[in-house]
Amino acid sequence: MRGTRLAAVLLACASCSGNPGSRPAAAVEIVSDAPDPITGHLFRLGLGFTIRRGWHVYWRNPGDAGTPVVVSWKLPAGWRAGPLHWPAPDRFVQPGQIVAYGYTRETALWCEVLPPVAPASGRLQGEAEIRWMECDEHTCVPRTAVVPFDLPTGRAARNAERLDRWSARLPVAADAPASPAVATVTRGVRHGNRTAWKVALKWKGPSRPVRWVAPEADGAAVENVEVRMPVPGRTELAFTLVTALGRRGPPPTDALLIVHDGSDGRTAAMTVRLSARKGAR
Amino acid sequence: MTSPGWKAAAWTGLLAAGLLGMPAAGRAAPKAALGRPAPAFTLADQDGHAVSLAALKGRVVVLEWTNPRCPVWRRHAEAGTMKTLAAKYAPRGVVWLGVNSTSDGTALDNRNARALYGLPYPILDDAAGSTGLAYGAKTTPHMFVIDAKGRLAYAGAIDSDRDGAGGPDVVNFVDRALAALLAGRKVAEPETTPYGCSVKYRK
Repeated sequence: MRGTRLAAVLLACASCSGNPGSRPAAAVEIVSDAPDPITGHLFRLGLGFTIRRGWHVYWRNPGDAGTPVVVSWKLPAGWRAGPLHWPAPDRFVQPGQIVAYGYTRETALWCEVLPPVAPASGRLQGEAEIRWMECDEHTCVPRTAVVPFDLPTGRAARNAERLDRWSARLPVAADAPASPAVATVTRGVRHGNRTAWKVALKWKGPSRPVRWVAPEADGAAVENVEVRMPVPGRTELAFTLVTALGRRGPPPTDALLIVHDGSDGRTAAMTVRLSARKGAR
Repeated sequence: MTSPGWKAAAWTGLLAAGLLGMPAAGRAAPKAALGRPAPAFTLADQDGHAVSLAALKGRVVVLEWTNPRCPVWRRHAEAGTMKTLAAKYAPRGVVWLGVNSTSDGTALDNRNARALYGLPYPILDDAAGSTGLAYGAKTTPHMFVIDAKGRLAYAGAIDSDRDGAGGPDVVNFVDRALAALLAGRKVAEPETTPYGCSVKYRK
């Protein structure tokens, strides 16, 4: 790590920590389509991750191990940031049948920012405080970065394109008009923290092959997943949801991510809420 | 007096021949189950001495999955979480064992970790991964408590402090499990979801 590469890393984050003297595997930069000037309308503010080959960072539910990326936006009074959007991650199984959900090579995580009614200067200065764990197959390194931003930059159009590209991987709620299927959820037997569920998908258009499913709640897992297509146009998922035990704090989300082929064969995703009463349709 | 090298080599040979009753170092090893007999093992500690679970019958045993290269494990090592608990219960006869299933881990790594963090308990070499797979160890740390009858009584996280924030509300599940077992009570929370880095098993 010498010379211009070191300079580039230091420019990318005002203060990074982790393994002193080693370059993070994940380089993080601000990606925003804030217009020039910023008016009272929503715009997107996000983080672009470029991850060294062989390394990954984790999804909101990292899987059996790992820690999710955590972002804290420091904004001036009157500016509000919405919830973080998580594009569908990749799923990988490590030796020992350890399931991980995360991102390799690149990803973007972003939120919408609502400016105050009449932003005085048309600009936004703030900071993103980001924590993540990056791992390769041998080692894990915790990282933090504090990334200042001064918006708009001259790159709104290019950033909008990048965020639009990642938006294709955002999960669509099953009950939203844009959802590719109507979902029916049936809850089965529960033993402790293990509950049997069935999710029936009736595709509105062509059937989409389902690749895998995962709970969005940190620490939850699925087991014994079965995917059947009993008749054309319908996919039936059966699985056991294993909720996290021993976690303190607010109740976790009941959303299930379903990753399937999009219309162009690329990764697409839906979310379904697992909250049916026993036997209810 | 045999040299440690010879001892370790002979023991490894026995392991490879499957003569020590360990499950095959493959993917089909069954996972340990709460209330059932904990999977047997015999592993070499950092000085090459064989440690066998069967020889510890009648004692409460804590297994701590360990990886000195994992930042989550290191956080606890620096804070002395496990060391303090091991010292608290050692006078009551509780045996505390670290297990390192990192595929390229060595006895030297384990010796260095003990020295660096002042760990009084052995760290067993499970680089082959078969004991980790038998227990279903997924993270470092991942904790298992075995009662005096050899049954698995607790499996999961060391505590509720997944994010490392600390504070007075942190619950140490292993402390509670040990207190219950030694008082002859049932463990109230026998299973929690562990946290940490993934165990780096060999492929």
